[in-house]
Amino acid sequence: MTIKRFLKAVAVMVAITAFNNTPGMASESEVLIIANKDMTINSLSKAEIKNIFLGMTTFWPDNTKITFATLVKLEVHKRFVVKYTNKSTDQFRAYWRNQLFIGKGRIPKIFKTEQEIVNFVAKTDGAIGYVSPSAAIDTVKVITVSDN
Amino acid sequence: MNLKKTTTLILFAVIIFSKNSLAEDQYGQVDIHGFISQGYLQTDKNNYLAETEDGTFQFNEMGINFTTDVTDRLRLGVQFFARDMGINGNDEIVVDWANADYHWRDWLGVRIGKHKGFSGFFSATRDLDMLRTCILLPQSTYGELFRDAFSSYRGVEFYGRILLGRAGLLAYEFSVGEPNFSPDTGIAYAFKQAFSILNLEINNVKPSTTQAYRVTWYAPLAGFKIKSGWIEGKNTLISGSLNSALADRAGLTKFEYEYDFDSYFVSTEYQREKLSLIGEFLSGSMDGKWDLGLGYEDRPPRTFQGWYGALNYDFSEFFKASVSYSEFYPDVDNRHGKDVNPVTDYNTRLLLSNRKVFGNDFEAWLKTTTLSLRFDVNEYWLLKLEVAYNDGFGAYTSAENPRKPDDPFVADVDRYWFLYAAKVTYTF
Repeated sequence: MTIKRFLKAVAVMVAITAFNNTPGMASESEVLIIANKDMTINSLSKAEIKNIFLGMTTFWPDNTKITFATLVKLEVHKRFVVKYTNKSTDQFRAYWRNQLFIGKGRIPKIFKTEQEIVNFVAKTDGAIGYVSPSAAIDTVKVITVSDN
Repeated sequence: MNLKKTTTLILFAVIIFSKNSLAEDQYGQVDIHGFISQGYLQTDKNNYLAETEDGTFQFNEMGINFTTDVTDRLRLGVQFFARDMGINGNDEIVVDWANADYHWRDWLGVRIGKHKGFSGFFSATRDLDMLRTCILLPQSTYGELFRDAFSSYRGVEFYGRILLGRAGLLAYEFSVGEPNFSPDTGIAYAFKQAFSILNLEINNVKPSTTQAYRVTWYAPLAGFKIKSGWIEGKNTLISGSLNSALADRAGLTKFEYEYDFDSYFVSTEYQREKLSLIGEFLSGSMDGKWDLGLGYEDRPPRTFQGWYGALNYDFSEFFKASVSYSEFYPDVDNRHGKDVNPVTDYNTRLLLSNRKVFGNDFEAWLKTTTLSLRFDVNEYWLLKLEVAYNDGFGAYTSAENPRKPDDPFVADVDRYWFLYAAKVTYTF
């Protein structure tokens, strides 16, 4: 393979994909953080939420296990990941694949619909997740989020 | 308990504790994930770890893992892995990692078994093509030759994380164990090729007990982290036999090399939205002695150093690019390749006294500029292309290359050369 052939192949690939630019970073807008109703926690900071969803903090203050749940492909998932983890959705996926394939973590619980994630959080001790403001959240509590 | 027994036990436990994936609670469900990569390598000059001047497909990786949470604090997992790169790997299936992980508190957990990773940001993930933009990690800090030796180790690992309030978060690991040294790994191959003129056959590699620590500081500045670590091993013993006319004439009957090594690294990354900047520095030293049948002789200690800087940019979910520049020096005290071997009994017998340590000056360094492109077809499939421009041959063994017709001690390699790489990966 000559370098000219290589560069031609590269140019074609770049042209096809570089302008097919689905934004990796969604705009920040409302996301509701939800938790199991039995939890004593009522508020969390953005940093605490980030640490939970990146697996840095895995226990609540009473030493019960944190179980966090995520959505996939929905717009609210993009909004949540960008706003709270400082990553794009594919960076977030790569982060957890990293943990999985080196034997230091498991892929988070993933749900396809907001109703499924609400049901899971409602019935799971120590569970936390997120939904859009329009989701039905009668069976869970909403966590207040502070900037610090 | 040896590793085969440990792996069998962990796999057995994963099966025993597993249950139907439709079960209500999360404990006992077994996650199964895997990946397979196929690559292609070509160089315009010089052979790199394989017959790359003609192009080679002997460049692939595949792995599958099984993980389950037994309780809210105990996780079991095992990953089987195979790879091929020239003469290394040959698709033989090995246990990549297999461990029991008891996570007592955020500030303290313990893993027993076989674990991934020694140094830098990427030594644990270097087999995982889907996690980065480049195909080959910078050879200045992640030399391919020693990849299998240092990508995992068996032993005990303590780990934890501490929240520092406004100062961010500190993660730490401390481990004691044995690296993956054996006559089949690159470290033995490096010795074998370095002494190819004696037709050295490595029979045994006895790894030392190795201790290491790694600390990562996640700064309050979002996306900024610094990682540093240190590793030390004493009394690694490599032994083999010599089968050449030169060895016979010199009266050399065996090969035993015993050495200590230590290494440290500093890595830093700043990631902001689509952009990430990474810089890593690695330094290590070896200090040993050898016996070729006439008694032990101290060998000159050698310190290697390497660093690189990389810029990654995510143009979209489908297209990412990376550029990097790296430098590696196998002997920092001989950066220009001019030094000669001292006159010693063994060097004289081997016809090495007063000869240059590196046959070609440019084997004393490797400076590489790399452009990498990544195309994510979808969540599971990706394609990568890469071109690297190299000055020098310092990070590689020159063994796959012919010797100069007028000097069998010197490899017939070129100073400036290109490496082209392509790779396709499927992950599930």
